[in-house]
Amino acid sequence: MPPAVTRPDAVRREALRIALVDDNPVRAAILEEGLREAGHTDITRLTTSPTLLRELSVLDPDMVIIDLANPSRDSLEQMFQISRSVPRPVAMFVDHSDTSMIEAAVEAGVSTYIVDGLKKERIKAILDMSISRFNAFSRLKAELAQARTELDERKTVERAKAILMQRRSIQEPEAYALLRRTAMNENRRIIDVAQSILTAAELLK
Amino acid sequence: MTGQTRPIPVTVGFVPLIDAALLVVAREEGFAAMEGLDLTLAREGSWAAIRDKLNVGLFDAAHMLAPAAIASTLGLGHLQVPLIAPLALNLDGNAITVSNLLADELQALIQPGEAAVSPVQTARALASVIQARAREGLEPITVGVVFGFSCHFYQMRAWLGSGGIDLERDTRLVVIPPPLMVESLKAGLVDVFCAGSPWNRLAEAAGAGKVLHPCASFMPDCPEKLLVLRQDSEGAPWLAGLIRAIVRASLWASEPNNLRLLARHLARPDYVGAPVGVIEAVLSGDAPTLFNALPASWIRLDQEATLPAVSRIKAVFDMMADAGQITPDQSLWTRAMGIARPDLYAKALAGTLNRTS
Repeated sequence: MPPAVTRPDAVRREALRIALVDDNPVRAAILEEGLREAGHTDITRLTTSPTLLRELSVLDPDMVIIDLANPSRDSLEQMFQISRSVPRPVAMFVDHSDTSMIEAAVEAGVSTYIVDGLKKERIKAILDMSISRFNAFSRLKAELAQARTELDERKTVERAKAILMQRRSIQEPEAYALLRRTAMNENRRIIDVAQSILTAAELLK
Repeated sequence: MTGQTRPIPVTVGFVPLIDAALLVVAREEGFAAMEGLDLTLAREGSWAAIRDKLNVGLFDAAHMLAPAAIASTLGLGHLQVPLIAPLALNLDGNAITVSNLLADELQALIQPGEAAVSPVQTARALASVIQARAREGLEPITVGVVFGFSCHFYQMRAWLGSGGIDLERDTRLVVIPPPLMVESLKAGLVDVFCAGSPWNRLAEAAGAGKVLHPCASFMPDCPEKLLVLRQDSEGAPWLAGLIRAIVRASLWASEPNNLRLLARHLARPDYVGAPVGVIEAVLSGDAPTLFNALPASWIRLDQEATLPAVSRIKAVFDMMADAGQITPDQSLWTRAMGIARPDLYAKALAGTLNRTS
């Protein structure tokens, strides 16, 4: 355990100084917005770099919020305990919240380090906010991916219809009905039938 | 062996390093499947992330630095997660690399003769460099390590110490994540670093520095990575099978004919993600170093290396105490020694290897 360095000056500081380390700018922006809405104004965003620890030392934050997968986490944790000779201007500790909180944070992909002496309620509110914003970002990403897949599928079906219309000299509604019927008869999805039409057309070109 | 039963899913976290090799072989060469396991290997960028995911049960087991396993069990400075190690994943594998500038300075001081230049000689030469810099009023040299609770750190201390250099008094220490080490060496933010493979060879391949010594040349058979699980997973139904699969992987990996294929498995982007040539150079151990001081081997993946021996945990504990990271008292010592579980290893292997190999 590193010696508990208390910083009366920092604890007395009115606004909590928060460092946000995230290489994903969109996620960082989402979290920063949430923190600002909650009334935190002293927020600095940082990204992975060889000088990150030095930047953090200069900044001297009360709390560091960092994405769980960030490779700088090891350096950050080690900064406080590797050697007696390393100055520890930032006396940060891993947040020992309750078990369910830790689980929720790990699953959301966020971790926090706090300066000794910070009030538990203040940390909890910020951690709650971080977890919910990180989760919101993941949902957003999943929705985007889903939307992209749907768009791709629609394009495939359109192209398959066009091929049928051309080869069989039929109109669009008939082409779609043909696709649907085939899919039902073969117990496949329309997108799968459309995909085989495109593959076949490519082979027969 | 598996009969009609469904394979048991097991998720093991690893950091992309060559010493995760036996996990990769256990999966890719089918040894895990032979034991009825559906082994998933999850790549992580930090030991902190490995510890956190192991702690909340997202990982069943993990690849971990032996000193980090002790730190996690004792709760040194961070979250306390008591662990056990029923198997070791390797011995050795670390090396010391110097910047091109420092390589030139050392070469000016050391005339390579017929015999290889020893680590003590290079450390003494470095001491002269440090003294010369101090006389000229220049900055002290900067030593980079990737993690504090690591054999890299103790090996760096030991090597410097052999030349009369005190890491804390005579150098400036920085902790930098491995992916940034090459860049830091190039930018002059670090003069010399110690890290696991393939980071040394990668730095050299990038033209950022020269590999000086594999650590096995001055501290052979150093316990490097362990397979760890939470203490409460001791009775898990997959454990004996996973131990057997990894021991079989070590027999496979020790076969010289398999070296190329092993390097190709490891080179994949979802594993180590480094050029095959760089990985082969580490595995074969025959690539040159600055003064050609070659040890018998760079990294050990043989079966003897997989033994979770108490004596090896003790050696690590002593190095941690020597570095001032642990106050050696009886209760900490007892808890740390409890990590090694040769009994689980022996139980899993009882009779099996003779029957099947």
